[in-house]
Amino acid sequence: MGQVSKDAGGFHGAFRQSISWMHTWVGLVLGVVLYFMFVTGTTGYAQHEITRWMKPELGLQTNFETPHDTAAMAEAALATTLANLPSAPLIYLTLPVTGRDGTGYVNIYADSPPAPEGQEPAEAYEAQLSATTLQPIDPAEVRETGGGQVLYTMHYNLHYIPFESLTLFGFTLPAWPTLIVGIATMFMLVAIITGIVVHKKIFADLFTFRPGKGQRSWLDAHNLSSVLALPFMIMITYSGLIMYTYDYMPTVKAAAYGVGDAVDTARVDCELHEYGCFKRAPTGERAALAPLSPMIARAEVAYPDAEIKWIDIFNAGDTAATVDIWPSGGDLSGGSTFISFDAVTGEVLGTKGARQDNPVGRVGDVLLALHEGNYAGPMLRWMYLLTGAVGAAMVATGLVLWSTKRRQKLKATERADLGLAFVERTNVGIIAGLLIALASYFWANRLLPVGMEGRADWEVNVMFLTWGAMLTHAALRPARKAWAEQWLLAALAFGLIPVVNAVTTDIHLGATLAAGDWVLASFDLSMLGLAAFFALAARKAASRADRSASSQPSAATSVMEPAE
Amino acid sequence: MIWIVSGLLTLAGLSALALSQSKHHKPVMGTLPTIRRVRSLRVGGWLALALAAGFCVQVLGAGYGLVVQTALLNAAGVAVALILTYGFGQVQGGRGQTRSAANRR
Repeated sequence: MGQVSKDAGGFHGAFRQSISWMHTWVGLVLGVVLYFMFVTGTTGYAQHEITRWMKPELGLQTNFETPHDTAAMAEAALATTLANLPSAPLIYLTLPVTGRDGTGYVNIYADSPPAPEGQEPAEAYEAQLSATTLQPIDPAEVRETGGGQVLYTMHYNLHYIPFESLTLFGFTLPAWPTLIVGIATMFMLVAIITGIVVHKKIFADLFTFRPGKGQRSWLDAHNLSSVLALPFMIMITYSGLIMYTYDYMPTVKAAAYGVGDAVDTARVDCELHEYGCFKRAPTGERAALAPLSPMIARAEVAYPDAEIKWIDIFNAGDTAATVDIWPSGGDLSGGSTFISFDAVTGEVLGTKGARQDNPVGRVGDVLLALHEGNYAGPMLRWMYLLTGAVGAAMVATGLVLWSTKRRQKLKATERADLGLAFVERTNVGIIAGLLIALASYFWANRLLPVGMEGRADWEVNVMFLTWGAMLTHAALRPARKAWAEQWLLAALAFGLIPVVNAVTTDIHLGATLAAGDWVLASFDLSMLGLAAFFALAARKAASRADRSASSQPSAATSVMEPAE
Repeated sequence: MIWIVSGLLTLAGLSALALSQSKHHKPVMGTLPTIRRVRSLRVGGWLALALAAGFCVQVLGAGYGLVVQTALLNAAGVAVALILTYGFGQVQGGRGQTRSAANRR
């Protein structure tokens, strides 16, 4: 039954009741944040593919299976960077990896050197280099957009909340977004554990779904989505929490590394963040960089089962310059693995591997790798996307369950109290509204003028303005009608994206399918798939709205659960 | 390929485990299961799941393989639940018991 048996007295009755209370309230209070995190987090698994769709000027790409020429790409990228920023203290190159991300270009980021007193430092150099032509892509020719990265960033940084933190007694608290997200994640962990404890018939009801029975059906849907995906839910929540261990427990980091100016940042970088272990301070003397190709060849020998994905060049042009080459493999060991070279002589300075002497650290690394899913091949990444969506459905069904349960408890002549009316209506705006807002982000990407000032920011503003509009709509309409209308709007908003795409760009479904660019085609096809799902939801919601509009007392009882 | 093999084994295994429960056996097979039937379905079900996991681990390695198997359990579980509900008319049948007199017309 899964219901709290209020008649059960004694310890077990009270225990179960309080666990159930806890589960309900941690879910309800931060449900909107958790739903937002699940939706944006799910898009994060396809962030590179989404970015490529949102930059149609990058064109089609058909070479997904043949490994790229790493050395050629790296040399070309480095040459372009040094031509634009000759003494960059930091150059990051991100190379496309076969079958694991949808990009067809090298991503370049180079920091500008520190400026003399009183002057502004020059802008960082950011560019993309086509993997096939090895030519830099002119940024003026690609529309300014946050792409999928911005959606993924919202997953853990939310949006519009300043990334600032309080410092109390020498300890820096987590930044405000990190704090909110962390509290939400902790609530989620409590919700999972209490949910398992309170779900009496967890095995008996494992495959049970009884639609058309009001609250019973929502409970079944909530149970199914959480229990069948339980390993993922536990993993994603716990790993999400430990991702910010040193932010949430600053005293641990302070005890090991000190506070304020006493902190040895190089040690923190290498031991904690597993980065830049062989970096050296610049000497100020100039020296030419050795060619990258032999270093890359050496790295490929060191990591035979992986492809080279990241190349970090520190203090290029200085005698103390170093090059870190990172492989990206399909294994779960997580953490950082890289081989470091003296950039002038080309000699190996050292390697960094999984933390052999730190079993706890290694467990943490594996959990973080599982959370981010970068190791996953295409098929497994689709599973991540689906399971993330199931997670969003889990939160959504929980929210709807709360309001359905309370509405059904009302007697025929009783009116809903303010709390119930509020939750009933905001549920529509939150659940369906966020999805419509997500679609509007893609619409904005296609429709906002390409040369517009602050275009990337405005794409996101459109998304949140739409969400606000949907919440307003839900506040003004009766809940049942609001559901039907918003699901219909969601179906149209997603379903028409391939059409808008075809009207405004060259990378529409006809072109991408014909050329075999499966990554871009998958985006449009996914939009259609989502639209079909929302159309189904719209139909169900519409029939429910019609039934309640013409309801008589006997019809109302048909949605109440039978006496158990 | 491994996805298909392990996927089908997982689907078969979870179906067997589901059918070992009376509430699902009744609408699918028409009768309540005997004790022997329940036992053989459970043994067969777990065996299929173990085989699926074994294949995953052997072909993909322990770490990756177990993640894939977990994902398959998730997907197959949802599939079994939906097939039982919509494929075998459990929509109105409640617990698979005979309809009450009130519903018989």
